[in-house]
Amino acid sequence: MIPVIDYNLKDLRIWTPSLFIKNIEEMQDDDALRKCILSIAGKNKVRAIAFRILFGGDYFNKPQIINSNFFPQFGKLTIFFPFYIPSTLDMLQRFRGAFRDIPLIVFFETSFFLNLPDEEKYYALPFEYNKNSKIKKFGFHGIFHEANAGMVPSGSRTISLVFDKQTTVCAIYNKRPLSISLGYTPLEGIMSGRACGDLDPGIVFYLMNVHNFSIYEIDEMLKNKSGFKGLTGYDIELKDMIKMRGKDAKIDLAFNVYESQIMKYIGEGVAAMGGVDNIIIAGSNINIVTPIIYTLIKKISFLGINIIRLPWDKDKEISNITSEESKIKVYINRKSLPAIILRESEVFMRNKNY
Amino acid sequence: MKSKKQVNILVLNCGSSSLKYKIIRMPDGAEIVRGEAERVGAKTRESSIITHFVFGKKTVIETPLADHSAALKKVLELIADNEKKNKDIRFDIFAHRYVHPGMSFSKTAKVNKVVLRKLKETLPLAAIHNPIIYKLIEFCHRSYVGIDQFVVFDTVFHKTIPPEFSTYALPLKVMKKYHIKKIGFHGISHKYVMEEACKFLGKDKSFQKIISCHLGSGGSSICAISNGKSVNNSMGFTPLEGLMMNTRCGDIDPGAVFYIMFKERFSSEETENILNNKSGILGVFNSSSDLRDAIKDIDKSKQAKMAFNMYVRRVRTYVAFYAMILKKADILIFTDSLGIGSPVLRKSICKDMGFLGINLDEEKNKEYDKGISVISPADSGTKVLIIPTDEENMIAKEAYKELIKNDSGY
Repeated sequence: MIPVIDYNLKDLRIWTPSLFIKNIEEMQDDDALRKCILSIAGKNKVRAIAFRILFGGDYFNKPQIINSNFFPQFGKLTIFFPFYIPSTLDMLQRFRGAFRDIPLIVFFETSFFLNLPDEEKYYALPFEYNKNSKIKKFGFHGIFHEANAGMVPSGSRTISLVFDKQTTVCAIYNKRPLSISLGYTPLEGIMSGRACGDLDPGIVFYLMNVHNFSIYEIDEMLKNKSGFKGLTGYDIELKDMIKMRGKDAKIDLAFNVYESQIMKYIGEGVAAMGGVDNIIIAGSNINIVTPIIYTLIKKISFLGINIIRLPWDKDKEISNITSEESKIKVYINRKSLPAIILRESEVFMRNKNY
Repeated sequence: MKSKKQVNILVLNCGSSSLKYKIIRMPDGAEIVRGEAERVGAKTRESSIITHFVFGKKTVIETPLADHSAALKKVLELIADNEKKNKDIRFDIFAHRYVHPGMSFSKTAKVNKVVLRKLKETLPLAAIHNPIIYKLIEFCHRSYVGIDQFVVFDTVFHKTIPPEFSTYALPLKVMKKYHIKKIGFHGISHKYVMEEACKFLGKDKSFQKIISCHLGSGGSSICAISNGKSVNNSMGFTPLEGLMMNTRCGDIDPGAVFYIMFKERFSSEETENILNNKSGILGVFNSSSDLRDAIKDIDKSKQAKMAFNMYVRRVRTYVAFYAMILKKADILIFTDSLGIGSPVLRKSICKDMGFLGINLDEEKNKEYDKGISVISPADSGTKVLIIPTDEENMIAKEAYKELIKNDSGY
């Protein structure tokens, strides 16, 4: 078996495929860590351990086996995410110490997007910033979007929508991404629970120059006090919020803004591809946001979408919810992220002859 | 019935280093004088010049112009000289274009002490444009007692943008306290070309869905118009959001802005200056801030090609976004210097957009010379038009409308 591990700065989320949540700091030493994983695996032999890593910078363009070269390269990314990289590096080093006999495979959410076209990748900043500071779109959710890309034939144009903690839209043509809503950091694009998504940068300067906000205050506000929480004032889960739709004006506004932001990126995607043949919708939140998905599809159905199955089949992993005649096919991909990573790990192991 | 007395309106349209002016006779819209003072206040080797047309006859005056008030004084002298020879060359009221009034004004305003005070509060909103125009309005108010002044706002047309498009996902409290929302700009131009397009096609604007692309050598913005009303604009709370522009970056990850400030230890003023004045086409292309120069170099310079591709991609994003919120547009308009001046730009923007109903007749696109022209084939779902914008004409119309509404004396 291959346990799949997602680390979020506090806990290890371990899929085997049942989910176990363990706090790595409570495990005193490498032995304790090893025992913990092996006990979760039970009688099954652990063939490898796979990790989901949020950021791989410019360097990690595909999944890797962790070896001694890995750590210095990964450490160089600290400058981009000073909170995430060092802590993740520590975690991986502990695993390396505990499992010298088992391959550790890392998957990066950003690898897929290293292939973005230049006109999408770069911002219209002075050239030196793009070059020296490596300011460009890294995108995120690459593992999901790449899996969606694998579902369709090369020549077709696909809009891939992922509803997870964050919502992202990606245009895919010939297995390659042509646009992605998230940017250099996870702040750009579509709003989420607490982050703002797209914003006029002029607002940042206005608040700093005219109203004396500090950069830290604004940074904190945009990342943690905005999004659904900021617009509604409610600090509740999305699944509870959506139940109050139609009963609370603030919640209605928040969802309307959310849908508008998604529409912008569907627009960007279809413009980048000169049309669209497939729409693939995935992510751990698809069941929660079913009404949003329905509204969005209805809004763009004039492009040639004929939906026949809503709600979709909750048993099937992948379902086509459009009719035979529908010019654009819409698929729901219910595969979970760990399931995708597990499958990719198996492919990886096979190719490397482990 | 309201009397329709003839009024000559002196329209003043300030740029950061220019002053465009026109005397327009209303209600018939006849142009009596037009001109432009260039390189106003700019410290360049070349002297400031005024190009002045009276009934189409051109005079060029080279003279130092320290600021916009000096330019206006000189223009008013020229007009006074003209009046001595021809009594028709005079003006009865002033009308100004004002860029960024925030949320303080929702319609054309007649200048008085209260309006002046309210305008003064809006100066920090557009640190380059607002103070220049404000000074000019104040100057006219002091020096031309008895001549009415009207202020026409670039933002008013966009007040109909619905909340789902005008709201940022920021804390509601912060947005209320600091009056933050998408305000939208270039409204005078978008409204003008919308009306011209409908007139030209013989359509009632109340039933048309329009995408207007104001692609200028300075600012660029796109507007979605439904039934005569603006429903979205690519510019935001400030003119920085949206498309890539001559020196403005347009849409950018706010996280990247923080990163630049942290890493380079720039103040917010320095960063704002970079994003407003050193980015955009200039930032990417490096040799010029004019996209037409990049187009000329497209085959020999990688950066020129990059600047062009980036500009086109961002325009296409908004065109497709707006075509989707309008559920296909009836009319797509190109205006302002780049929109009118570059066939290859229009071609690249419209390429493979047939799925949204947008098609181009390549011959008509290439052969466009001047005036209003349809450049889509007859069977295109969306009519694609080129329309030269005329902000001064729209300003005169708006001022006149306000004048006859308020002042029974005329």
